[in-house]
Parts: sequence; structure tokens; C-alpha cells
Amino acid sequence: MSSQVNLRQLGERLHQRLLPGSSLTVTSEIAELFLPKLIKSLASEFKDVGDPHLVDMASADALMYYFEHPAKFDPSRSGLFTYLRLLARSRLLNSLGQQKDSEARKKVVELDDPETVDGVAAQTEPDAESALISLDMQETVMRQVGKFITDPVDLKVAALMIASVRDTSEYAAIMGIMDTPVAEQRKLVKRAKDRIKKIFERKIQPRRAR
Amino acid sequence: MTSQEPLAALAALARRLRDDPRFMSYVLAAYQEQEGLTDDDFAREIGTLPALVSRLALCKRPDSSSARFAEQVRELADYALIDEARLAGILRQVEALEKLARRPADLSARRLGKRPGYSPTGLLAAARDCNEKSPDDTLHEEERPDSEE
Repeated sequence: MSSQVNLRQLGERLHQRLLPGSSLTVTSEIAELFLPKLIKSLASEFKDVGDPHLVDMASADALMYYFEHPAKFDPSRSGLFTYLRLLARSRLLNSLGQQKDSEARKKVVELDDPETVDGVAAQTEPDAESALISLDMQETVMRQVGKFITDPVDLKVAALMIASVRDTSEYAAIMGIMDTPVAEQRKLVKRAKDRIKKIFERKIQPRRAR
Repeated sequence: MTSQEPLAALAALARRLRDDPRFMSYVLAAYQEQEGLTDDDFAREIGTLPALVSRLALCKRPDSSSARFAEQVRELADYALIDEARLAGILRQVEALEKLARRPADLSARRLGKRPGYSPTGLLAAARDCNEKSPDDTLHEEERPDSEE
């Protein structure tokens, strides 16, 4: 995955994978990329929210709504982050309204309904959409994985697995087996993946409680 | 400020998807409940990290009737760095529970005018009910016509 991709481009790619319903990992990839960013963005806007869990809940609600109705997002009108943020913000405002928290209510101007959000044309956070993104969560996970896998090539293979890369040639390039026939590449890549899983399993399971 | 670290926020989202049979979160929750495993126990059981279990839980569930099932299981196993045979075993075990639970869940849903859905707890209750029946009961039930439904 190129590091030069911005949030809008990546959101659009993920959306295109979500729509046909053929990718099983894409919901996880979307959550991993957008949930922390949504929470951070809303938390900075709503600094005075009495219960900080409301921000987390609203952000999670937005993702769940999107997973349920992906076709309602129109990439020609906004980036996915902008769309999800509007959904989350709308839900947060609704929660605050229901909570009747007098301090938080001062911030409530109006409650967006989902239709308004679905029809969004606004670019509420153009900077966020165009910024080159870092895959924070994947890096966090890889730091944890790196405690168990020390071989540099294995670690790169694990990084591709975690990034949901399916293309054998990307693994072959890292493993230095590009000159090998494709069928042989597949076998070697499969063997490398299985070895990594076994290493991982062996290092984690001795600490089993049961 | 937000209440949770990003990993915890993802785990919380995964927990909210436990009642949705289309997600792996539901499958993992049903399996954990049946085996009496905490989240950490479960991660050790399948030989991976809790953070990777959360990633797996946020994935869609493979369709066991699909011709691509094996490939889908492999995709998920790679994504969470776990053994695909072990993951397939978990999926099969939970699906067997669902089959046991389907009939009563369907009936009660129909009576209540609800869309059929199976919580992990409901699955296990149905599985326990079936396990508690004597072999004779099972035999008679199998002989009964489906007209009850």
C-alpha cells in the first residue's frame, strides 16, 4: 500500500471494496482507519462533553450505520471521512440532546437527520481528507507483532498479511523469489505465512492460562 | 478528550457487533461463551494477540455455503495471523450451534413477528437444551414431521 495515498483516496478505495460485499476484511480495515480519526476529531470539537464515552459511541454508531447502508455514501459529494464525521456528529448531538446536559446543550445548534447527512455536499474537513495519512493502527499492531517475530523478512511478510494484501507477487518481491515460477511462488508464500502463524502461536500459547 | 485508546475503541466496536451474525464478532463471542473463555484466554487459545482478535471480530463472516469459503477463511486467518484450520473449526462449531438453535429461534421470532436473529446466549441455551435431551427424545424428534414449523 502506497504511503502517498491521502485519506480521501483510501476511503474511496475501501468503499469500492465494501460495496460488492466480497471482501471480508474491509469492514475491519475501515474501522481501523477511521474510528480513531473520528473519535479524535469529534473529541477536539466537543471538548466539554460530560461523558467522553458519548464520542466513542457516536463514532461507532456512524461506522455501523455505514456498514449497514454503504450505498448511501456518495463519493462524488464528499470524502468518506467527512461523511462518517457528519454521521457521528449528528448522533453525538442527538445523544447530547437526549441527555439534557445543560453545558453540552449550549453547543447544540440543530440536529442533523440521517437524510441530511446522506445528502451531504459539504467538505467539512478538507484538510483532513487531503492529508497524507499514516496507518497508525497497523503500525501499533505491527509493534506488538514485532515482539514475537524478529526475522526482518518474516516481519515484512507479516506486515503485508496484516494489511490484507492478497497479491502473491507483493510477497514474492519481499521474499526475493520473483524469478521463481508463479506456482512455486504461491507455495513458498503460503509456507512463509504458515510459518509466521506457527511462530506466533508457539510464542503466545505457552502463556496459556488453561 | 476521548475515553479510550484506539485499540480499546476498536474492541468496543467489535463488542457492539456481537449480536450481528454477519460479523466475526458474533462467531467469536458464541465460541468464547461456549468454551467459557475470556477475551484474553481466547486470544491465547488461538495463538494471537488481543488486538488481532479485535481486527478479526470486525471482519465479515465467511459464507460456509460459498464455493469461496476456504479462500475466505484463509483471508481472515492471514489478516489475524492465526491458523486457518483452527479458524475453520471455530466457524464450524458455531454454525453447528446455530443449526441446533435455528428451529426454536425461528419459531419464537415468528410468534413475536420479529426478524429471526440468534444471540450467542440464545444459541448456547438451545445447544444445552438439545444436549440435555435423551437419545430417545432426539430420535422421536427426528421422526416428527416438519409440519410443526
